[in-house]
Amino acid sequence: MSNTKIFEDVKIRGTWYDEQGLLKTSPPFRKHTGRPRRKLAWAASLIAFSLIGMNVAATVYAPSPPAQATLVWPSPPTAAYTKQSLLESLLKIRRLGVDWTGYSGASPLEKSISAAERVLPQLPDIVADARAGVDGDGHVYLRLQQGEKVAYLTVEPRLIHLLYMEPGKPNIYIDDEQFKGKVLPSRIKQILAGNLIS
Amino acid sequence: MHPPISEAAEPISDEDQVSRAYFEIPGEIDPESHFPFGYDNKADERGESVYWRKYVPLIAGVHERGCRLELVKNDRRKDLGKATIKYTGARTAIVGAIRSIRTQRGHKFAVIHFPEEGDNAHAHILIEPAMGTRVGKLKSNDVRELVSLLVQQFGALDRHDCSTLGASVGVGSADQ
Repeated sequence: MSNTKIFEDVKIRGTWYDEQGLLKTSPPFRKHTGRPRRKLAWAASLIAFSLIGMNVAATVYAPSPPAQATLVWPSPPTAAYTKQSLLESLLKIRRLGVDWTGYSGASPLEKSISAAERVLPQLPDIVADARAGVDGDGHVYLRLQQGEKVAYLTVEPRLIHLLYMEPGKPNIYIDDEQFKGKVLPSRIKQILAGNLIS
Repeated sequence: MHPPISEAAEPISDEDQVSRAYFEIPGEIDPESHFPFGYDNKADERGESVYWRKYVPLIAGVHERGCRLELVKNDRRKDLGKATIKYTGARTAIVGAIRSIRTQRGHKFAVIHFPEEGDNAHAHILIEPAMGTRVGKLKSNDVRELVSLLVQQFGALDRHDCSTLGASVGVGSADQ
């Protein structure tokens, strides 16, 4: 039997072919091996992962809705606040005793404190850094400061004194103004109103 | 006119420093109240005590004195049922700066050495009125103006809490 007959007998002709005198096998047939299918699978994966990634990004990096911000600015000082500060000072002074600074000194005079309390509402409406203090004779003084300008109103039971100081200008002194502990003298009120900004 | 100075008193130079012991006052009260300069009619003067840093070179020595004052004064106050005081620290100024103060009416300060009760560091800041004015006749406004100018010469408060100090009361123990 010739070799050709063997090939015909075993019916392997379809799988063998003669090309340029060489025997060459044909690759076995496989399912799902086409390039277009691989491309499709790749494309589908790309799209799927892109969608997942975008979803994650949208969730994590999404801008948060604007929160309602609450800012509390210190309210600007007012004339009422100036007087309130002085009143608080006077209340504290009333509770002080002898040698309250730690050194020998007069205790605050009750009549001076009361007179200062009566003067307070009569002060012009000015905005200042204001505190009350006590001098060495037990008399109350009110200090009103606006920047470098400062006024001191010392209130005795029956006399009142004003000192106004501003850099570059002569001081204003009102000494021993009769007062009787009740009505703020008008010229003192005018000096305060004219020199300290309301 | 100043009161007679003891033989132990020395001149204080302008370059030296003095420190004032501060005691707590309510925050609502004007801090210039720390220098009352009340009139002492026995001595005919208006003065406030300070410590001459020549004899208290370390601030700890000033704090020691302040704490001792707190202790002594509070012992008396407790006996009398009065509120106690609390030493809070000290402020320091240059003597020359204090002496250079002049009010518009011509009043000024003197700084003199005044050893007292065995403490060589004790000194006084005294009001020196203008010529023709007696210290007992000074106006309220003059004292206010002087104090207003004086407090500007003192530096920031060097804080101290006596409760953190081991109770050392002897004079001079912290002066070394």
